[in-house]
Amino acid sequence: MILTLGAALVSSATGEQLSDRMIAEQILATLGASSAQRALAHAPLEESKHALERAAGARRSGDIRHAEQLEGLSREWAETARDLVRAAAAEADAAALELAAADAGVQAERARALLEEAIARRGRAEAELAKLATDAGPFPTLPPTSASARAKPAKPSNTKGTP
Amino acid sequence: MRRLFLLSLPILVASCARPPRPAAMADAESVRRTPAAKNAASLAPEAYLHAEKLRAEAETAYENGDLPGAQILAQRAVAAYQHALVLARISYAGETANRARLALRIAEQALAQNDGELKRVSAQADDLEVRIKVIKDAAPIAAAGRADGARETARLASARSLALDARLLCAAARMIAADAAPLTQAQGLVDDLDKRLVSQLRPAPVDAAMRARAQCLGALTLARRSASTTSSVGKSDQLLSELSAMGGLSPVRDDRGVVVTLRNLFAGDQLTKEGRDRLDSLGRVAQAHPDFPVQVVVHASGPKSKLGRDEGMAISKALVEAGANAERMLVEAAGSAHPVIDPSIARDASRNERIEIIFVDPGG
Repeated sequence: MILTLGAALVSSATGEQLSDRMIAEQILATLGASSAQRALAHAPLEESKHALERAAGARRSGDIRHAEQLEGLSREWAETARDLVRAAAAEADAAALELAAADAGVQAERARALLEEAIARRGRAEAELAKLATDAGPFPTLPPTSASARAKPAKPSNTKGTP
Repeated sequence: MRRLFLLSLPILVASCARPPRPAAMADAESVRRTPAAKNAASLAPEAYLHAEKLRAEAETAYENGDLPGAQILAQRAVAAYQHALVLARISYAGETANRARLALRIAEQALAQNDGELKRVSAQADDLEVRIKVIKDAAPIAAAGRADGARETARLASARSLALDARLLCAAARMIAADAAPLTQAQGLVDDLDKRLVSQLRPAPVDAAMRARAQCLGALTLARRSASTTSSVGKSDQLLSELSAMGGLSPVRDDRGVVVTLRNLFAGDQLTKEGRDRLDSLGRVAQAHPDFPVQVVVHASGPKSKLGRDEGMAISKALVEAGANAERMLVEAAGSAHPVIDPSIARDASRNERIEIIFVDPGG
């Protein structure tokens, strides 16, 4: 794997275009390092490796044209495997975001319901206060300020009863 | 000769016929015809065109008689179609994520907006409800006439309890805004009431006690309004949550603020270790919430109770040592005016001995 990556780095450093085989080997080495990714992209990885083996066989027998085509096939499967891992990650992210959006939507609805309740509560209180203010005078109601008025008990005829 | 010609004819025809198409070419065709591949054509057009090109190259190789080349190119076309399908999945997931992100942002904005609005409307409703309570309490009532001995005794107990309420509410108002005019008037009522409770027990001044309580509650409400321009709803909730999270305190809210009731803090005249630990925790809470003045109210079980002002001062000292502000603390000896259990039941009378630590809500 180190040799593959090293060769890829040297090629990119010198500006040399990477061959299909080198790209395939590089992707296989990267994905092979993670068991989770290996498991996720098992089928295309195996196809890619198999194509590389066939390409090596063709090269050994001198069939360079078909060897290069097989290396192209290996690269195609390797890139599919790499993007399969990306797809799984993107889908997981999207699912998590959808869940978070759904939760936030439910919370927003609940908050809206609570707000409506509070508005109704305030409305009831305003109505009750308006009624009380009409009956008992403006807020705050303070007692008569003269000491004599405080000292005298209120006469029943001058007071209003409360329920 | 003629027979030989007839026998060799099928062989000649067979040698001129085209070889069978490689299986991979049929595979590429069938993958291409799937709905997923058609979907990929719109979501990953470049990858799909690449697969189409490979399939066309496979056809050309087959036309040219390069069967192995046609087989390999067709296999590559199958891989390229699969690649296009995977890229379409990524593209679709990206679109889904973008839609979800937008929905999340909208929901969060709505939530924040509703939350702020809820706090504002709840504070307004709380304020209105307090005003209603004050008006109702202050409404003139039919004077209580003379009653039999048992009723007068009950009225006297009630008047003492209401007088204590009034004193504590006025004290709370003084801790928030000491120089408010309504507070001076309300305090005058409380002082008159105290005198009457000492000198003139019959008839019990229950009406005056109710009025004094209502005036002190009104003074507290006005003091809260004048003390702050911002709502304390959030702060009070936070304080209540913190006290609840400490465990074993069972804090409650009343007209004064957030109340914690403590028992068995003393062994003899000394604070127990557990009692001191409790007070340390509460002192730290008071330190963390400097807006809330602290009332220490000592409730006794009767004239022979061991709890009194001295114990209240010891508690105040412990709270200050833990970080509470001594200048914003008040100790009140409430006596036995607020029993929680009938004091005549000797077995349970000690339950009436308790300390209330009140974090006075500064309001807004």
